[in-house]
Amino acid sequence: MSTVDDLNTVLAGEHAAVYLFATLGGRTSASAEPTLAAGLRSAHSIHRARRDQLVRMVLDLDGSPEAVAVGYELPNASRTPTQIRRGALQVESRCTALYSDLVARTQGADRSWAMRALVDSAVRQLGFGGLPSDLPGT
Amino acid sequence: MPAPPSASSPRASGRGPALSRRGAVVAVPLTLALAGCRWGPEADGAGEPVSGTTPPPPDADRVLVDQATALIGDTAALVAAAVAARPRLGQQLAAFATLHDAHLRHLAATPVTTSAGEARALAGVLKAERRLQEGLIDLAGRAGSGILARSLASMAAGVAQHVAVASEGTR
Repeated sequence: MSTVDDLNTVLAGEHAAVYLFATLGGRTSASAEPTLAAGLRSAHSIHRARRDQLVRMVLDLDGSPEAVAVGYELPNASRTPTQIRRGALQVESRCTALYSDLVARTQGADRSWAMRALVDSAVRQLGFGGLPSDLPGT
Repeated sequence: MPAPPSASSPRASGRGPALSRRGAVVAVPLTLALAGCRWGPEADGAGEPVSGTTPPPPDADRVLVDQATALIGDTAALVAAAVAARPRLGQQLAAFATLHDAHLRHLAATPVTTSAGEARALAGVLKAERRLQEGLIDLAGRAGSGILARSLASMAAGVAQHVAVASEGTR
């Protein structure tokens, strides 16, 4: 698998994360659940930035960036704050795993970038009720 | 050891209604449980050296709190033993059990854990853990094997998670 394919695999995940965090944020009341709403906003912002970065990285390799899908399935019903928090944790956990794989498949600057994203994603899980683990993303 | 969640608002002894026999039965194990969690070899502030420096001395007030807790715990255990041996004393001794329970809760909630010594020790550990995290990241960046790189990076992420959780208590 080429590096473009590896990057596009993660890009597909980031497309989904951007969509899902936006959806989960739209279902969360900023006044009733300010901490959750802020966490979702922050997650949406950081994943959007990562998506854009991945697009640039693919283009720099003369590749074609993975296109965004028409829609993405929510990990659960996501109707209550508890469900939304749990759903956000699932989305973030998937991203952590994707970056963990990307670390293994890259080198140099790309690997460094993937490692920073892996660490950030692992810590971000905590904000959605995740618990620390020995080896996040594996 | 942090105070249990229910220990944030200790009930003043002697003001509430007298405990029923059933209440006494509940109160005594609770007292013992609280007393038990304060005993043991835990030497506050006397953990492993941080970053090669001399560990900070135990905070003097923390030592006093531990001594008071042990003292109350011993007496509470005596009360519990007396009630266990002579159940009919339960109602009569319930006030003591409640008193010791309230005092233990109050001690557990007393903010002596934020001493300068403990804060320094915690900061030292967190600094060392962050260095470990960065060290693992650096090694992962240089690894020839992708599998090793992933393992090292994942270890760094695990350290980062634990640092984030531990740092929460310092804010």
